[in-house]
Amino acid sequence: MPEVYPVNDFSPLMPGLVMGGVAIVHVFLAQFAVGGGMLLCYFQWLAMQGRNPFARQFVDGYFKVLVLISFVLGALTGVGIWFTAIQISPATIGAMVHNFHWLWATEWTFFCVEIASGYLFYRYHRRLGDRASMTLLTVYAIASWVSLFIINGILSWQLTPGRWLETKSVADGFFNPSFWPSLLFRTIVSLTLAALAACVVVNTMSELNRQARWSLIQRAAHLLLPMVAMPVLGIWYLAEIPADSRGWILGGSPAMMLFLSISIAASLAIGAYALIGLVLRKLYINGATATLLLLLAFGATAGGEFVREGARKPFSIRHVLYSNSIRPDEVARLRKVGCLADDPYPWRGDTEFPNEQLEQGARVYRRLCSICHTVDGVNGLAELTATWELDQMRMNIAKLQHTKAFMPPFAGTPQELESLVQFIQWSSAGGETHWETSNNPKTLARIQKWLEEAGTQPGVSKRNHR
Amino acid sequence: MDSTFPVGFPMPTALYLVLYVATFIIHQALVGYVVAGSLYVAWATIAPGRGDTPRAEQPLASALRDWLPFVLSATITAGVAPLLFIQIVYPRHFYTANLLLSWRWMIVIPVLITAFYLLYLIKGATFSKWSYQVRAAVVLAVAACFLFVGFCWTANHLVANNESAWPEVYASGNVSLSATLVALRMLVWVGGACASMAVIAGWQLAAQSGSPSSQPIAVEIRRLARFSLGGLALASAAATAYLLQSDQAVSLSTLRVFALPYVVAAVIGVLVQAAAWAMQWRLGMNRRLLAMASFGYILALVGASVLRETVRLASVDIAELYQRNADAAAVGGFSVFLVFVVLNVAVITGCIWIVQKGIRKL
Repeated sequence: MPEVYPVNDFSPLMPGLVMGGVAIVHVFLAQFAVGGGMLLCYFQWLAMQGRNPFARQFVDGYFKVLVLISFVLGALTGVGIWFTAIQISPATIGAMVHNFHWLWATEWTFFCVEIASGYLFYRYHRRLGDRASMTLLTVYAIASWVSLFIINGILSWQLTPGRWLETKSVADGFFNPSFWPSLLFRTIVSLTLAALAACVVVNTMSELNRQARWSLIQRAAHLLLPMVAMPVLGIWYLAEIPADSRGWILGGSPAMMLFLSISIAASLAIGAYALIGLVLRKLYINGATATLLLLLAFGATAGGEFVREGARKPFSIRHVLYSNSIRPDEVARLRKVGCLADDPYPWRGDTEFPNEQLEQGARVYRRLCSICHTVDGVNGLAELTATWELDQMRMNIAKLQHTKAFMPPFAGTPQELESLVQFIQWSSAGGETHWETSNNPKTLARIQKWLEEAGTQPGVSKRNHR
Repeated sequence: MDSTFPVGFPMPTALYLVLYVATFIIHQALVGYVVAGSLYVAWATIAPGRGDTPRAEQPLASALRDWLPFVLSATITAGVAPLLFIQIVYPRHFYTANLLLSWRWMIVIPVLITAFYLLYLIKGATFSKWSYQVRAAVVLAVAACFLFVGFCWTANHLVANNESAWPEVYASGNVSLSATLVALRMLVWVGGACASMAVIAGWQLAAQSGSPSSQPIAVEIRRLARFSLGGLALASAAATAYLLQSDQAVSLSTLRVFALPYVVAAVIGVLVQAAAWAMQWRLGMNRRLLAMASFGYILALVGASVLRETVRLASVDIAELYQRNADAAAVGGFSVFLVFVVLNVAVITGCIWIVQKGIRKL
C-alpha cells in the first residue's frame, strides 16, 4: 500500500522551483567550501615554500570568509535542502534515504571531521607551526571533498541508476554511469568557485598594496586552469545520461536548452577571462569584476542544476519513482482503484466547488499534477491546455506519456480523469458558480479505451539507459 | 512492550532505534549548551551586576560568547545523524508532521541562520562597546531564536505522534496542541539544557585556569552550581507533571517494564548531579566533583532520552514499521559506515592531538 502524504500548495510557484531555489544556493555554497579547502592547502604550501610572502595572510582572511559563509549558510542550507525535499516530495527523499542511509551516515562522519579540523585551524592556526596548520587544512580539504564524493553518488543515481535497477546493490547504484563525469565536473566547479571567491577576498585586503594583491590573484588563477577540461567532462556526462534526457537538454525542451545555454555561456565567459586575462596576459582583476565573475558562476551553477533536475523527467528517480511520487509498478493498480483511494486528506482552502466532481478533480490535480504544475500560475494547467478541445484534453491526458514523453502515465480511473478535465475547464473558465457534472457513460468508455491504448508503461524506454 | 528497551524489537528496528537515540543524545548535549548558554549570556548582558567587571565580561560569559558559534556549528552537524535515522525509524510520522507544519516548520532554517550570525556579533571584540539597548536586543533575539526552534521541534514531535488528527490538521491548517503539554516539554528541555551547559562550561572553566580555585573561577563555579541545580529542579518537576498529564497511553506498566532501568538511571543521574553541584557550591571548583556531575549528567541524559522515546513508542504503531526497517537494514553499506566511524573518530582525535602538541611546542 503506497503512503500518501499531505500536499502543500506553493502557488503561484510550482514546488519544483522552490526546491530548485534552495538547492542551487546550497550547491553553490557547498562547492565553494570544497574548493576552498583545496585552495587553502595550495596557499599554505606556497607560504611554507616561501613562494609568496603574502600567502599566510591570505589564508587567514580567506578562512574567516569560509567559516562565516560556508560553515553557517552552507551547513544550514544543507539541512534546509533536506526539509525542502520533504516538503516537495517525501517519497523521493524517503527512497534516497532508504537506499543510501549508510552512505549518508558515512558522509555525516566526514562532516564531523570537516567541522573539527576546520574550527581547530580557525582557532589555533596562529599558535601552530606550518606543518600542523597544513595537516589540519589537508584533513579539512579531504573531508569536504569526500562529502562531495558521497553526495555526488547519491544524486547521480537519481538520473542514472544503471545496473542498480537489476542488482539493487549499493555499490552499483553509487558508482552509477554518470558518477565519474559528474564528480570530476563538480570538483572543477568547486575549484573555480574557490578561485573566484579568492579574487574577491584579495580585493578586500586593503592592508596589501596592488602588487601584493596581484601576486595572490595570479596564484589563485592557477585553480581556474582545470576549467579547460570542462567541455570534455560535459560531453562525457551527456554521453552517459539516457538518450531521452539528452534529447530534451539538447533541444527537445526549449526551457532546458535555454538553461543549458546560460550555463555554458557563463562558464565560457569565466573560462575565457581566466585563461586569456589572468593566465596568459597576467592581468589584475578588481573587486567588481571578480564579483561579477562569481555571479556568472552562480548563474552557471543555477543553469546546470536546473538542467540536471529537469533531465530526470518524468521520474524523480529513474524507473523507480515518477515526479508525482507514483511508482511505475503502481500505475496499473491505481487505474483500477483510483489515485484517491489511499488519500485520506480532504481538499482544503476556501474554494467552493459547484459539485462534488470538481472537488474530486481538484484532489486528482493535487495528487498527480501539483508537484510540477499550478492551476494558473507557473507552468499552469489552464494556460498549457488553453487551446485544447474538450475531447482532445481527455485523450491527451489519458495518453499523457505519449502526448509528452517527459510526462508520467495517468494513474487513475476514467472517472478521476474526467473529474480532472472538468476541474481544469472550470478553473480556466474563472470558477463559475454553476457547473454541470459530466458523467456520460460514453465519454467514460472513450477515456477507458484511450487509457488502455496508452498502457501503463512510461513514455521513455528502459533500453536507452546505458 | 514486555522487555527493556531496545530488546523488545526485531533486530533492524532495535539497531535503528539505538542509533537514533545515541546520536540524538550527542546532539542534545550540544543543544543544551547552546540554549542555556545563550540564556545565560542574555541574563549576564541584561543584568551586568554592580562589580567592576560586568557579568558579560566575566570568565563564564566570556567563554560562552567565545565558544557558542562553534558549538552551534557542532550542534547542527551532530543533528544530521538523528535527522537521518528518524527518517528510517519513523518516516511516515516525521514526513507528515513536516508537511502539516509546512512553513511553520521550514522557518527554523532562517531563524537558525539569524541566530548564528548574531552569535558571531556577540563574540566580536566590538560587541561590548555597543549601547546597552542594542546589546540587550541582540542577546534576547538570540535566546528567543533558540527557544522558538525548540518550540518548533516540540510541535513537530507532538503532531507526528498524533496520527488520528492528521487529516483534520491538514484540512483546517490549525495545529491544535495542548498548551500544557507543550509548556511542560519545553520546561523539561530548558531545565535539562541548564544542566548540560553547567557540566560542559564547568570543564571549560577548569581548563581555562591553571588554578581553578582562583577567586573569579570559584565565583563562576558557584553560579554554575545554582544554574544547574535550578535547571535540574525545573526539569524534574516538569517531567513528572508531563508524565502525569500525558494522555498518550503512557501507562505506568509500560514504563515499569520497558524503561525501568532508564527511569532509575535518570533519577540517579539527577541526584548525583545535584549532590555534586551542591558540594561544589560549598567547596568551590573541584575536578573530582565536576567528573561526578558529568557522570550524573550522562546517566540522566541517557535515561531521559530513552524515556522520551518510550513516550513516542507508546503512541505510534511501531509494528507497522518493522518490515520497512528490515528492508532498510538489508541495504548494503553498514560496514562502510562502521569503518569510517572508527577512522574519522581517530582522525578527529589526531587533529586535537596535533593542536595540543603544536601549542605546547610554541
